[in-house]
Amino acid sequence: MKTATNDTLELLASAERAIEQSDLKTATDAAQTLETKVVRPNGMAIDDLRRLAQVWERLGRIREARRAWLAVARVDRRYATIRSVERRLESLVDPDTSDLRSIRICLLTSFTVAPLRSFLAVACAAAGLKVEIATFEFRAIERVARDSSSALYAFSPDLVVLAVDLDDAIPDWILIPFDENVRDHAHAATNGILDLATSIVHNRPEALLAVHTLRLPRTSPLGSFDITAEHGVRPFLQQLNASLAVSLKSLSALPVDFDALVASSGGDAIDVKFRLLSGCPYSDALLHVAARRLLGPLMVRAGRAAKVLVLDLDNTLWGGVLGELGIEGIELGPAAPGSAFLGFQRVLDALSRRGMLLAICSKNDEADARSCLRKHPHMLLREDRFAAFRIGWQDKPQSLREMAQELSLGLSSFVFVDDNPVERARMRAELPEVLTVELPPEPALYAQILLDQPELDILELTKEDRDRTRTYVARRQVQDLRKKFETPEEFFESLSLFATIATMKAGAVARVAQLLQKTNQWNLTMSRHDVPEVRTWVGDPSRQVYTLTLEDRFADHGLVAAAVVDGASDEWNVLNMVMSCRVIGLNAETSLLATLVDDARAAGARTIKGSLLYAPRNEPARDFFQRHGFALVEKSATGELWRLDLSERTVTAPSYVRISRVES
Amino acid sequence: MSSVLDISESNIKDVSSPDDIPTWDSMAHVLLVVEIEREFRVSIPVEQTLEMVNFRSIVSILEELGAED
Repeated sequence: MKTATNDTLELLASAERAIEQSDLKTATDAAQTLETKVVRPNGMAIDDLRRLAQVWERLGRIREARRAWLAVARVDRRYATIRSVERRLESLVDPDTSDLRSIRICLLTSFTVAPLRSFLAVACAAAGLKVEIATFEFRAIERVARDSSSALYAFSPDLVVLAVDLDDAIPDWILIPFDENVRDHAHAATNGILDLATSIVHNRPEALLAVHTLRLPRTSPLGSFDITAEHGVRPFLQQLNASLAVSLKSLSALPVDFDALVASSGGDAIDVKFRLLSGCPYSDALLHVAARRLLGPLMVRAGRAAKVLVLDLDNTLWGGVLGELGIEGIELGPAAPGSAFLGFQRVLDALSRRGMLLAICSKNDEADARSCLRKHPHMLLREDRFAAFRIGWQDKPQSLREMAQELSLGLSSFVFVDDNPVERARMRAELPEVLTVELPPEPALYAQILLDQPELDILELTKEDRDRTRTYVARRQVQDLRKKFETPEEFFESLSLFATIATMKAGAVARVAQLLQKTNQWNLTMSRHDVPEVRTWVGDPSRQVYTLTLEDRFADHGLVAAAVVDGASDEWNVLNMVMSCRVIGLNAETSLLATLVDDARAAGARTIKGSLLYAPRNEPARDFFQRHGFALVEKSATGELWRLDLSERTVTAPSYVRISRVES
Repeated sequence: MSSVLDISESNIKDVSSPDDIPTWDSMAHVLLVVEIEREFRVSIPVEQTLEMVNFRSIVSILEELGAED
C-alpha cells in the first residue's frame, strides 16, 4: 500500500510532468486530487503545498493557486514565508473579490513596517477581506499625521494603525525606577502618542484609529521586587497604558492591548537579532498575532460581525450522543471528560451575556433534547438562553434559513458550530455566507478556536447588547405560546397583558420623540417630530399625547405606543398614532383608542377624525380606522380621512388587556 | 535562498549578488541571514552579515562557522 506522502509526491510529479508536455487535462486532474488535502490541517507538507500552488499558477487557476499559497502561510508562519506568499497573492488577483471595494488600511509605525505589512496582507487575504495597505514609518509618521494635506489623508484610510514600540517611545525605560526625568519623559512620550492620535482623529474622523499600547518589557532591573516597588517598570508602564487607553477611548479611538498580544503570541515578543538586522523588533509569532488582532475591527467595519451562534448538541454542548446514552450517560460536568463541554458552555454563557444570540440546530429527538436542557444537573445553558431551536431530522442549511427568517437577521451574521465535519462541509457548500467554524477533534479546544474568530470581535458594548438575549427569548416564547391556542383570544388571555395608558409627562418626551422618529410600520401619518418640539406639547390641549406602556408575563416592553390628539374643539383630531413593531398583533392599539374615545366623550366631543397617509412600509397600520368602526370621509392617492360619530358608535377595549389609566 | 529571493535554484551562481538579482533587497538580505541561520543551525555575527555580498561569500562564511554540508 502506498503511503499518503508518496501519493502526494507522485501526484505532484505527474502534474508537473503533464504541464511540461502541455497535457493540461492530466495536470488539472492530478492537482484536483490533492485539493482535499489543502484544506485539512497538516494535510500536506509545506514544500508540497508550494509545488501545488505553482502547478495551479502554471495552469492559470488563480482561485486554487491562492488557496494553496494561503495554506502555505497557515502551515509556516515565518516572515520569509509570509513575505513570499504576500508577493504571490499580489500577482494573483482574487477573482471573487475583484469588484469589491478595498478596505484601506494605513500603518504608522516607529519601526520597520514591512514585516507587519506582510503579515497583515496575508491575514486579510485568508479572511477574505480585500484591502489596500499604505505605510509610513519612523519620523515620517509625525509629519503625515499632523499635516492635513499629507499622503496619509490623501489615501482616505478606513483604518489607521498607530504602533509605537516601547524602545522608540521611551528608549531609557530601564531607568524608570531610578530617575524622575525618565518618568517625566515617559509621560511626555505617552502624551506624544495621544497628540498624534488626536491629529489623526481630527483629520480623518471617518477612519477607525487603532493604537498599540506600550509594550511591557519581560524583565525589570528590579527583578522580583518590580511589582511592589514604588516605581516598578511594569506597574509604572501598566498605569501609563491604563490612562492612555482611557484617553484613546474618549477620542473614539481603539486601544490595542499590546500585553494581550504578547500573551497570545505564546512566545517572545522581541526578536533581538532580527531587530538589529531589519529594524523591526518583533518576532514572527508576535507579528502574526498583531496582524490577526486587526481583523476583528476590520470585520466590524466590513459588516461581517457575528450575531447568532448556532450550536449543535451531541459532542458540541455535551459529550456523547444523547439518544444512545440518555441524560445520565452524556459527558457534562466538573470532572473530565465532561469538563471540556462545561468549559465550552461557560464561554458561550459569557458570549450570550455580551449580546450574542445562541440558537440550537441539532439532529435529535426534540422532547429528549429539551428535557436534557431542562433537567441535566450541570447544564449551564438552559432552554431560556436560546433564541431559536431546530431540533429534529431536518436538513441543517434549511434550519438556518428558517432561523434567519424567524429572528429577522441575515445569514451572514450566523456562526455555525458543529463537531461533525460532514455537516460543516455541507453548510459551507450550501450557505457560504454563514461562518462555519472549523472545530478541532478535541472538545477542550473548542472555546479558544471560537473566541479566536475575528467575526466575534466587538469594539463596544451597549445596554441593548446586554438585554438582547432576553428580548429575543421573550419574542420566541410568545411565538411558541401562540401555536398552543385554538383562538387568538385564548392566546391573548394567556399573555396576561397589562397596559398603562397615561398623558405624556416631561419624563416620557424623549421616548415619544424616538417613537415618532423611528417607527415606520405602525405609523398612521409618518409625521416626524424631534425632542424640542414634542416637549412644547406638554400641557397643550391641541397636542395631547397619550402614551401606552405594555407588560406581559414574559417581558416589560416599556413605552411602546403614542397618539397625538388635538382635543381643543368638539371634533377631536388624531394627528398621528405610532406603535413599536415589537408589539404589533397584540391589539394594544384598540385599548389606547378606547381610552381616547372615553376621554373625548367625557370632554363633550361629538366626533373623532383621523387621517391615514400611505407610506412605503406602514401597511400594518392601514386598517386601523376601518377596523374600529370609523366611516371613510375622503380617499385620495396619498391617503384617507376617517370619522367616528360618538353618538352612534363607540370603541370597546379588549377584555384580555388590563388597563391602568394614569391621569395627568 | 531561491525561495527568499523568489528565483529558481538554477539561476543562482557563485557571483550572484544584490546587483544582478533585483529581488535581493535589504529585507531579503536580512531574511537570507535568518533562513541560513535556521537551515544550518549557526549564528552569523551581525558584522559578518555585511560581508555576505554574493553567493560565494555566503558559502565561505558558513564554512568558517563550521556549518555542515
